[in-house]
Amino acid sequence: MNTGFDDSREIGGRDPLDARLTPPPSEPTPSDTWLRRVLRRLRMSAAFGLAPVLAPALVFVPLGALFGPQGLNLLSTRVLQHLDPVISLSLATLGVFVGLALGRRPSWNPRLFVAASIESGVTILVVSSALVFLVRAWDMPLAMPLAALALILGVSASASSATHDATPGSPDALAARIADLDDVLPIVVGALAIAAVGRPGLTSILWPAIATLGVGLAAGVIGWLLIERAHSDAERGIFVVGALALVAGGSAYLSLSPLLAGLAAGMFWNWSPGRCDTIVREDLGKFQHPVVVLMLLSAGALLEYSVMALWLFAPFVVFRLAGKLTGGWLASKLTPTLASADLSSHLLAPGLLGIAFALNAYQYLHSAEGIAALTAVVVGTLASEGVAFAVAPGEADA
Amino acid sequence: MPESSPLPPSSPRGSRRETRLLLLTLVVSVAVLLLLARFRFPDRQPLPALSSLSSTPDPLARMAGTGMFADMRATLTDLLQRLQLSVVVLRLTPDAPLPQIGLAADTLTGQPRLVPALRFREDLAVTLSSGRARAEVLEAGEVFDASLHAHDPSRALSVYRVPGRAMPALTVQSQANLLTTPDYFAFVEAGVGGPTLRAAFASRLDPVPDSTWNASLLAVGGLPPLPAGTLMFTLSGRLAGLVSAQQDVATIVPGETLLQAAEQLPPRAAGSSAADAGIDVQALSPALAKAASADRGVIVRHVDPAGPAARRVEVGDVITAVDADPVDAVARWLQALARRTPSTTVTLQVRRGGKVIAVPLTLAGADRALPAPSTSTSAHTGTTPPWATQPGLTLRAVNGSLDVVRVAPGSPAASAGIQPGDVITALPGRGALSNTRVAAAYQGLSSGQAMLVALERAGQPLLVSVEKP
Repeated sequence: MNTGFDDSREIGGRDPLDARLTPPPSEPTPSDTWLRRVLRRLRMSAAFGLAPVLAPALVFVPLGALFGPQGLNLLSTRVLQHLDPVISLSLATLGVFVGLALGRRPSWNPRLFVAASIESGVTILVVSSALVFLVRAWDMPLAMPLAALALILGVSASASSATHDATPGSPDALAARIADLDDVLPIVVGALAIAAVGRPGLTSILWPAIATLGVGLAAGVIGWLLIERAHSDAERGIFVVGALALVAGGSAYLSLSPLLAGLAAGMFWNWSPGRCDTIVREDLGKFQHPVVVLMLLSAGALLEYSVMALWLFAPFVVFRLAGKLTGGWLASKLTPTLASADLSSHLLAPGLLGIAFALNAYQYLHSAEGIAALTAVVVGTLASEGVAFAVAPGEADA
Repeated sequence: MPESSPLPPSSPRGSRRETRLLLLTLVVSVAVLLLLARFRFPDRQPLPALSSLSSTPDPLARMAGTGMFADMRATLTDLLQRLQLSVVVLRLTPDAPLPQIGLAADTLTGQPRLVPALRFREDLAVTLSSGRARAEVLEAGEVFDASLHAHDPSRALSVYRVPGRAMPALTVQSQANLLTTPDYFAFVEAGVGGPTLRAAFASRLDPVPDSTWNASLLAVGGLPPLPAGTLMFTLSGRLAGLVSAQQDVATIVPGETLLQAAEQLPPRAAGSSAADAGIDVQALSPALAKAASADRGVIVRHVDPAGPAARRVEVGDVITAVDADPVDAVARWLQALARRTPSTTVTLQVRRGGKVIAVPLTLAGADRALPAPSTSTSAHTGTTPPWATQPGLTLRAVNGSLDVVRVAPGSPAASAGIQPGDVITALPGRGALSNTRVAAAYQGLSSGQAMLVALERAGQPLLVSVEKP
């Protein structure tokens, strides 16, 4: 049965490009050796050319750190400044993918969306609350509001990327669908958290978020009008890239969140008449990998290992685990369709979006706290991949 | 995914595993939370007061004790050590107040005051003072005498000769660099044990033209209250300036201007006082300017009959220049005198009765007592005619002067600021003084014209302009 979401995974999952490269990995083969099984659990198989499912952060973040200013300095501070627009572009790309992944009728399932939002919301709540408590107890000096820092870390912790499974309705497939849907709430909360820094009053916080949605929707409408009337594949590709650049550039120029703007554009393309969503998904698949690799390399190069980052890292990993398990458990209890999915274990892998959230925050918070938060999130994401490997769902349960 | 999608069969084993994992994680998380909360973030200095702060303490208080502030402390400590040889602590004990100069700290309270002085040569230090105070140097628990080397009463700038010490080269921050960006500065004040130093952030530095200093001073915003005379240094030890006054914002004399003024002050002869012309002047208000037919200068309100200007300068004269130095304010007049020593001959440019005349004077020393107020011995009651013929004064002739007994409310005299108890000492340009002369002089005025009246109030000379309505 076609669930409608098997080709709508965000980065980290199987996409049309992956599908063209290799067959799905979940079918056991005679050569399914112990090494292949370990690599698959590490979600690193594709990095060795064994399977399309990969955790690219495990490969490219360390490479970025190696090439960065604190390593070989190939990615010097000056180069990183020039890569800043690429980061905005990759954030907008991820936002568009999240918007497209919401699915369109009849595959749109409000219950699954609510469950996913509960799962991510609980994770944000657990991580943020724990960090507020700990940072106060530590008497850690901060030059930014504690709530904003805690929310940024909580939002980054809420991202998840379950391994895709070709079997419709299987726990893996359900978890993958939840992992698609649970990114919407963090993107919105993250945009609000960034807007809250240095802005007093609810109105001054909400206004940037509304403006971001406006930018995304405007770029979406422009892209839709152009894409639907393109006469050739090349022309269509140009319009897709142009619309994406408009989303990223417009939001970055206005100091807004490219993730939220991309989400708005993706949702518009998803629900607009015509084939715009399919076209965009196919065309973005052609250049998503280079853009995302550049984003991960930049994230690795931007890392600065400070005492503050070290202190934020440990609770980030521990309470992300607690939040994911609690959120997954609650979501599965509140939604009958997920009752037996062993959802929590499937959602422990963090994927890329957490790093994207932290980069998005860092773009607007070039302070010691912003760098410390980015470092804690990136290193915590790598550590969480290890946790996901250790707490992977058992074969018998899957 | 559609709701009608088939679901995997229920797996109680998986559910139990999930629940067990959740419970285990929650227990571990709470334990980790409590364990981590027992630690304190490093790089924070122990500040007991912080523990009593609210949950959202002041950002600066939260920053205190961090590495940034530790660096600041080390910087200031090092700077203080370097400035020990460039800053002298003076104890000024006032001999007599000098009412017309309000800037100097030692004249404000009448009590001994400690002021910092900048050692700009090995044996010379400059500060703000009235110049009429006995000065001592406090150094390493010992007290040394200091003598006034040069003084400018208009700017309250004093150069003291202090015990000679080897001193490091004094570097000055240029005014252009001061104006570039807001920054932290070190402000040096005087303490009993030596100079004290505190850092403050100057959020704005704006140039303000000042005629007294004949240069642009700096209005510095965002500073805490600082006494006049406080020295200002950059954190790298360059002289930035000296606080000359502080009302809403501090006014800073830039280092370049300060040193230039200190170097240019002529030294006083040993045992001598400052030059004096025996003249007291006051600013030329619009009313006085109209009455004296002058548009600039200072107007003479008293001439010491025993001074060098007696019978040469008259009350009501407007002094427009001393030699080639233009005089357009009282400070400029005082400044011109401060630049000259006693026995110097100067030429005053004086406007009298619409004509400009040159008056040569040989200056004397400044130890000149102000005239004592006259005392009344006999009485003569005048009348109060209508404002067309009388200015509204009731006068009493006393030994060649006129005591003001009463001032009619709303009269021209009241409008001119004459008060009961004032003593009229002269009617400039109108001959000998008498009650009838006052009335005649007033009656001789046309409507809108004014006459000058020299007064003495509480022992101080004063010049007013009475205008006929």
